[in-house]
Amino acid sequence: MESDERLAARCQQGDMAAFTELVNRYKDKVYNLAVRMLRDRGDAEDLAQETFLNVYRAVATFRVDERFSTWIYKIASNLCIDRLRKRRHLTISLDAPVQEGEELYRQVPDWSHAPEPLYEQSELREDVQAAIDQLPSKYRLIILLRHMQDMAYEEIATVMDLPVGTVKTRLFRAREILKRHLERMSEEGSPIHGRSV
Amino acid sequence: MKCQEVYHLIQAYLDVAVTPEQERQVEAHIRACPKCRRRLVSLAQAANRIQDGDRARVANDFTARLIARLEAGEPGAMAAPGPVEGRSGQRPKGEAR
Repeated sequence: MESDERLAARCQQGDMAAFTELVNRYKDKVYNLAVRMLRDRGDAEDLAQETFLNVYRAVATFRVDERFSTWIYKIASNLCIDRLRKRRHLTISLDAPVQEGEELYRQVPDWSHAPEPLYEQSELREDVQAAIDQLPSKYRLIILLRHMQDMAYEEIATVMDLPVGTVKTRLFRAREILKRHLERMSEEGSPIHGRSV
Repeated sequence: MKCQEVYHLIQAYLDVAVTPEQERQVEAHIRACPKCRRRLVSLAQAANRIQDGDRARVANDFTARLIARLEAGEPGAMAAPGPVEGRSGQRPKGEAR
């Protein structure tokens, strides 16, 4: 099978078939990361589209000696963090004048259909997702890159532009928080949703 | 080795990011210490539950819609020089142009 980097190099020559192949290789991976970061499938699919538009536009800046997976996760991760930041901003400035009305409304998180629809397809047990949601977004991203995408510390450090030491500290802390949260939930018997699993 | 000394090593051990010597130290410690053994198991379970979650899939027409957007020359999609005016006006950080 042709390597991702080789396909990216062909993309740089304007080869649409190579681009399509990269999209097909990464669309579900990027989408799943976004689903767990954003907790909204519509937003996540939108973010995945945005990621590939960015890939297409910026592919000339990709250096073939770097890993394509690291590069695309960097793009997707930054888009996730930006979007979460905007949401947070929106929750405190909804009364502010609307400049790009449609766009703004689309980015307001729609909590009315969360979390139930999310779990139909993305079967992270809801107690696990609830535990992940407790984490600050940058910690959440690290733990997802480590355990969903199976990345090593160094790769995560490249994706997030952080020193390896910081990645380790945050990952370790995130895992402790997650562990405590899950232990507490199992003691309490997950009272929120009352699922019989 | 004391619990305190092995505390962070247990985390690195989970990520298979320890030296053979550290690995031996962790394993010797958890054999002797039920408390640290329980901690290791709980941490591993937390990690496994993220790993084991089923993966969702994008809609079937995902790629077709993307290509259509590119062909329509949507702002932010083309390799235009200068500042990009994407729909949300954002660019990936670290992607110097």
